[in-house]
Amino acid sequence: MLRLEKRPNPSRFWLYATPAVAVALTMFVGGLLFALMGKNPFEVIRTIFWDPVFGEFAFYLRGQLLVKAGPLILIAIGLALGFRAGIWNIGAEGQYIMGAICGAAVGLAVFPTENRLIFPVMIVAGAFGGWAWAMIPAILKTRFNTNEILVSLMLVYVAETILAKAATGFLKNPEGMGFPGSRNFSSFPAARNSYIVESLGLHWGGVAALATAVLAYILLTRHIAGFQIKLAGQAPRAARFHGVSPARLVVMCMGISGALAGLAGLFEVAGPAGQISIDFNTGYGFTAIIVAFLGRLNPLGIVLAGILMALTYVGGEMAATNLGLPSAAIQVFQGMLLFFLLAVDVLTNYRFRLGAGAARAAGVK
Amino acid sequence: MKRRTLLASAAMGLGVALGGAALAEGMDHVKACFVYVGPIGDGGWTFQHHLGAMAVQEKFGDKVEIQYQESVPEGADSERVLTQMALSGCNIIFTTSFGYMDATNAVAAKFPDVKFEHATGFKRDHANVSTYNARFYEGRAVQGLIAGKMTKSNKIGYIGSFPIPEVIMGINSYYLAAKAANPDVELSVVWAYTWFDPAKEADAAKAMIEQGVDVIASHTDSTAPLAEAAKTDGKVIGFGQASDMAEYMDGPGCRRSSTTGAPTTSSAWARCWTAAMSRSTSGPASPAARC
Repeated sequence: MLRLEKRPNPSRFWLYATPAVAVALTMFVGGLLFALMGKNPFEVIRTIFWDPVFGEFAFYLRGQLLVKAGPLILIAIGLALGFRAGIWNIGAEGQYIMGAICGAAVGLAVFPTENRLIFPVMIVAGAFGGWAWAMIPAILKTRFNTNEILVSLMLVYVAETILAKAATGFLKNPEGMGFPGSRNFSSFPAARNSYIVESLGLHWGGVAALATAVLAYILLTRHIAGFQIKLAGQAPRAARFHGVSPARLVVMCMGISGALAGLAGLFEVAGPAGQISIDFNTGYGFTAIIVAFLGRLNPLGIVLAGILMALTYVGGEMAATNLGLPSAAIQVFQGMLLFFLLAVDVLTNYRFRLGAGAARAAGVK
Repeated sequence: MKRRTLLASAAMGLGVALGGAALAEGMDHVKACFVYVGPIGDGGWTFQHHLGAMAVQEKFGDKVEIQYQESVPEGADSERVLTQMALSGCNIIFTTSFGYMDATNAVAAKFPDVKFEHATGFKRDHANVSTYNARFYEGRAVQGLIAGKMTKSNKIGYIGSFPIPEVIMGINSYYLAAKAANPDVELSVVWAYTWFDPAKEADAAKAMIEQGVDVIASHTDSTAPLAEAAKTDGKVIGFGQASDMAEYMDGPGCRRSSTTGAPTTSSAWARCWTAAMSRSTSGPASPAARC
């Protein structure tokens, strides 16, 4: 009989092999699913993973990868810092919305002024909006010991309501003939998050995402704050002896992840989305949780994971349109990725043992 | 004769706003692509659109190739989906929801040879974009009349999706007709801020039922509000939306409403759609359908 046995130390091999094995398993089981649906599994997998990068329309789709991956990476890096310290910010979606609203509000307030400073100020306002929204669960946790998972998650729904109010009320386009939605930033050059290299899909959000990845990597490996984050996650008691204040850590981690989610929202609203609309948010804040874990909570891993996730979106759309796959099948496929990741992840801390050996090992303990 | 067949293949879908035969010049094969806001199995709006697409396919066989994508979020993602479709050779693209308006116009600018048909919007920035719609408010008035006559509590409800003119127009029409039939009637409106979310729509229906509402209409695409109404043992009745939803109301409430002809709007919409389709497919000579 197979039994799971805890490893004395986490396996380094499985730490890095897990994402690759999870992707391979997802392709295999996903392929089976597609085959059962009567599609050619090889064609579907090729359409999802190969065509967006090397296929006929790659010249357009390659750029779209970074457009889609940028916000995921930016949010996921912030989340990963908190996750490493055992602080679970699940409400990045709400912080993303609030960042977009605050940033857009600053830009729209001065429409149609043309000034070079407008966009930088909007960026600051976006980060501030996300940060402020994240401070609510952070301060409730440090003051009243509430659960940050629940509070941050519930605040997503509050943010969505404020978003609806913004699109139909205080940020509504006065020249929009009564339709909901703000002015479109595409007709407001000073506030527009324009492409730096269009063929790569690189706008300021992408630059921010890549820069943040490098900074977060340095923070985690070289800076005392990074050490404290890791210590608090792995050994909370030791962290307290070391002088790490849990309250300060919560405020810092929630603050950073909130600000980064807010930034992502600002770059999206001023760039690809173009305007505040009722359904502006499309789930980046939640998908980023998958990206953070897929990237092993490592900033550089998250960059790769974000691009992989974007690939399943862009390629999944291609498969849905060109091969007639239902969108639900694509969502199942994306869900499988997290499922297998978590399942294979067990092997990092545990190993399989055959019955007798496992019993003996357990007896010794 | 030749011109007419060309016209027919060009005008597939809705005959309403197509820019004539220009598209069809020299085309024996048309690729028509649909961008749907919900899943094709929503039982409402998208389902009905898809039936229309399938009817076109059936009518024209291999002269038409249909492609579609379900559950495309309104916003930045739709622009990518539209571009992919245009790149992959779609000749005409139907963007079937209000929220695709800006994306439709943005992509239309880049692909002047592709025709775009946008549902219920108001922006036509380029010559290759047109807008289609139906007189939904007429059906809503019939619903309102029935609601005013049937309500016992004098409280009727309406689940709105988004506060856009298309939806508000329907609410106004529903309310005015109900008020004319029954001056004491009170209308409560709940905004779901979604086109398709069965859980949210059911919650909205529940909240209204708890407030004493006994007739529910909705402008969201799922059948969930009717399922809630069906649970009340006939005390609450409801109307379908976009498709004939009578079969989803498996309870006394629905039988009552269907005997009074309640789901007419949905079937009218279906008829209207098919009529528009057949009108365009059989050429301009056929008698105009009454919608």
